[in-house]
Amino acid sequence: MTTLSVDTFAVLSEAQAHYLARIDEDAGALRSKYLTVSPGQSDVYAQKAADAQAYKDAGYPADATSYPWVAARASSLSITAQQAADGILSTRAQWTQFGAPMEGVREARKAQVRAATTARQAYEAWASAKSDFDVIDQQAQQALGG
Amino acid sequence: MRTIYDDQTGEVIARIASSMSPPLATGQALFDGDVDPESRYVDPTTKEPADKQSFAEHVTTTTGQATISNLPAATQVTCNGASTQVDDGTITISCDIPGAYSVELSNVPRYVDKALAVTIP
Repeated sequence: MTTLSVDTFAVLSEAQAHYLARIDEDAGALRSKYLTVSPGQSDVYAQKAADAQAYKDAGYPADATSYPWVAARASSLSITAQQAADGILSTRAQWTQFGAPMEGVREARKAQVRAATTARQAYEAWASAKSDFDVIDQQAQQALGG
Repeated sequence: MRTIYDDQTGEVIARIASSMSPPLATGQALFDGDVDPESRYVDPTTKEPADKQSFAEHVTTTTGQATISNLPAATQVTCNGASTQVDDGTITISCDIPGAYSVELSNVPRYVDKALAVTIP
């Protein structure tokens, strides 16, 4: 019988690099469905959340000038500082509900890719990550009404 | 219309409209008529046009490989940039990554070229 090998990757490390990148790309694509992805935006989210948490921890003081992100949101939306802080924290909680497992999948499946001893195992780790991301996406859509 | 063909294989080399006798290279012959190379060739024995045949291959797949059988001798099989000739009728194509692969079968001049979409699990 004649045989023909049509391997996609010449060496294992090439397959691992490919699928590590694919997992990051897929995670990024899913994140971008629920977060505004632009330069510096993740820092803005983190600072807003920290500011809102600090404002809440302080007992929602009447003077919110020490909490610039909360004050800015309250002003721009014409709502109270407490409403602004609670809104920021609610959004963060919603994101954490899906963002945390998403990150868990990303890290775990990438570890599997690194531990793979064949290109096929690396592929299967990526395929599993993709499947996991799909489940999280469906859950997020149902929860967020999207 | 006349046709220049390979006098050993029967493969059509050129179709010419001129009534003048074209110069023939060694190993070439002239048929007085038109032969469409897509579907026909010139039988070197009878020196008459003949219809190309269709491949009647069988494909089976298992994890990481596809086996294509019932191929005529001297079939050229190409997949993913790799190519080999099959003389024993059967080829096993192995791959490291599952997916859809395009497999091209060629057996000049007696068979019509064929492209298969093979999904290897």
